[in-house]
Amino acid sequence: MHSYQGRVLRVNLGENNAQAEPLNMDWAAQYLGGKGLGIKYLYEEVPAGTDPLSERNKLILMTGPFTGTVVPCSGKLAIISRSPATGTILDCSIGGHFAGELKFAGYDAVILEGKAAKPAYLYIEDDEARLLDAGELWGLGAHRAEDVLREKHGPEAKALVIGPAGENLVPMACISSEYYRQAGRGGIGAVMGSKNLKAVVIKGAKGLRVTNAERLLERLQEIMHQDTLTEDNLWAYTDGTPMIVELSQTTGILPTHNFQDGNFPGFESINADAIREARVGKRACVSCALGCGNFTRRGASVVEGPEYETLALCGSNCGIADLEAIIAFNKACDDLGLDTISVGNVTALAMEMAEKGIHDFGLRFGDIQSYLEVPGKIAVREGIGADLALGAKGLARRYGGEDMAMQVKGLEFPGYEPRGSWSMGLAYATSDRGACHMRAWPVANEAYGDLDPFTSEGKAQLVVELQHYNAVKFSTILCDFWALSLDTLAEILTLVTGKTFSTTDLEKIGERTVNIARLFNVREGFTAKDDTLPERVFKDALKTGPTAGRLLPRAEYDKMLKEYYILRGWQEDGKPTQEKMQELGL
Amino acid sequence: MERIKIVVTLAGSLNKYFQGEKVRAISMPAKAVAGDLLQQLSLPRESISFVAVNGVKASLEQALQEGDKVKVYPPVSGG
Amino acid sequence: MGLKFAGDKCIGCKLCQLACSAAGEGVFNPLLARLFVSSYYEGPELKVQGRVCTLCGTCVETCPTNAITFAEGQLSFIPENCDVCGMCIAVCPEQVITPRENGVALCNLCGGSPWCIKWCPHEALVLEEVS
Repeated sequence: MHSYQGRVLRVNLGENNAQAEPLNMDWAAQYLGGKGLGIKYLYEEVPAGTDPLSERNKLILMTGPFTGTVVPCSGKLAIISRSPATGTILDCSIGGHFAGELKFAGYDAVILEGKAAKPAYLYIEDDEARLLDAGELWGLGAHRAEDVLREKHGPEAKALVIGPAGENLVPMACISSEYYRQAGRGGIGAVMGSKNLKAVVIKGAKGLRVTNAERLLERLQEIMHQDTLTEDNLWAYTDGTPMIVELSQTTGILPTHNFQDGNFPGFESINADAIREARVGKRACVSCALGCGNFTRRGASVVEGPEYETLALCGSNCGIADLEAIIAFNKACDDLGLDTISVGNVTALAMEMAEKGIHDFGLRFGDIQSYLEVPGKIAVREGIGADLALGAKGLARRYGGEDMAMQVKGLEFPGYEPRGSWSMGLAYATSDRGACHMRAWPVANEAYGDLDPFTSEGKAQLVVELQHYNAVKFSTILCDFWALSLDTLAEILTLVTGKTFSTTDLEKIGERTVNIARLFNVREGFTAKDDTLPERVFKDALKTGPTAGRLLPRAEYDKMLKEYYILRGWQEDGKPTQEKMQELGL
Repeated sequence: MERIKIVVTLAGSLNKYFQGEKVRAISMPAKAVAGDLLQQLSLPRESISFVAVNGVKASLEQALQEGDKVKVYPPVSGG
Repeated sequence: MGLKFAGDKCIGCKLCQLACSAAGEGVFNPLLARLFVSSYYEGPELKVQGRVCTLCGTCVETCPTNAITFAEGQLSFIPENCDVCGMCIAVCPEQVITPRENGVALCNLCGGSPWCIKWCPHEALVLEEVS
């Protein structure tokens, strides 16, 4: 297949040894790249029961066949490991320009193994890969660390870095690039920290050879104009994800006060109009024709963002309607290397714990001063930060309030209230890495679309199809903001790789990817009982707004989940059947 | 025939249907429903997510009233 | 007609550079492009830079062996005439002439219909009259 470099850089950090090896092209044919291929490698190489923060865990940086090409919206990198937050498989995706540079340096992937003897960073320039001392970088914020690396290696060098949160093994630590792009979830930054690895820096001069350049440029350029830069997708350019604030508010699913409600009276201070007013620039990932990034400024605070998830979790969910405060909070999280979804979620939980008299962390809904101190404390695990760094599940286990810890498998809910969009509940519960909005985004069809949000009818089928769609997209790799059809995706993949792919082939690759992720989790002891939601979703009705009085009745949830297993060819205990595994070649 | 006046906002990329303007007051027949508004603005159904009337998502069959604030949202994918 | 770069519209996607290198030499490699754009954060600022051939003619005037010519609105590189002295690279004010084995690569506007413009998603690159 074309458009692969056919090479993996394997780096043993403990032995200070880096070697290129051939990419397993049989696996590439079955899983393409990105999410799928990364999970396949991890499944084969990391044995069951491996402590995520031990040196036996691995960190895999994986590109796909679209990376480094002109396929629109193909700038993302997949990072795969076992999650310290959940113990599940973990694949994150990060934007920016690193992925393209990795491909231009002549690699499809980097596999990081072992643990460096002391703080180090990996420098890769084409065939040269060296482990360099990071003594002076350790302890620095991600932004300053990236500045130092650029000063040292030139402005064209691209870097993945961790902040203090990753160094301190906080299970909501992320990996950052170009200040504001994050591989956010599941504590992927803590895995990097556990390896004493502050950064990976890359410069590539080799490029990626193409066989039929004229035809590729001609056809893909038509597709970009006719299918990418269209009404379906241009919201990403005109507004980006803040557009979703009002979609959620008007449908009653905007997380408010730790998911006690789906209706936030202050939404107009954090909506797309407010972000447009604060916007001073736009920025895209490499190869992205849309360019969703909003560079915003309010007072002394700047950030690229805040994205919808941050506005929801760190805004409405914490009762904060002050955009300047959210921008400052966002910027602090990015620099410290923290995932805004998990931090916003656990902060709101702590606020509710005080409200309910469970424990007082000095945090209150809407109180800006105490709120702004949270990221700094979590990153170094000081004071209340030591508790909040446990995550929502760990915090509630320690102090009580497990019913209101809004998480699945230890990963905190993102910004969609499942009581107002029942399929989203099923998507959270069955996602491979805990409560995640990127494995399937059925709100578009349901709360924001034409389907009735308050019925279980047909929802399992919807979630299954969307999970396959996203899994194959994240394996090529494409950004989820381009809503292309599988037919178009098949055409592009055929054009780029020179191997014929049909829509059915892609569905099968998506299904295979979902199943190997499931097998990884089954091997780690996860079963059907883990595919559930916090009690609050089943028991407590939302209070105000369009979804007032709504909950997700447990019987309806159980019905969706049962149907989901049947459609998946999984047993009642949630394990894939032998027949299904055979069918998928697993 | 009796007519009503409503205030329409087109969110994000949809403002091109108002030649770049964001908000307009629109006159509609008294018995108009939300779907009629889309037709009047030549806004194809597939170009929108949904219509909200007075801050709440509404069906396209919902009857419009004098003074209603209607907001139309573009389709989105992936949060 | 020459290339014009509008920094306020550029989102830094580099599709122009990737299309340029693919069209010119069958490889996706921004370093081989005949133009350069960059968008990056530095402290509290978002910086955008762009360098394109402005058809200023300095390379044509400087080349001692007539290996670069200007005719019908386009630059051409004639490899047989090139001594590989590197003077055009040194004098190009936009730094968009880059070395190759036995010569240089420069922008010939793709014969009149530049790929970089076709690939720019937000009209940050346009063709306009130059004097």
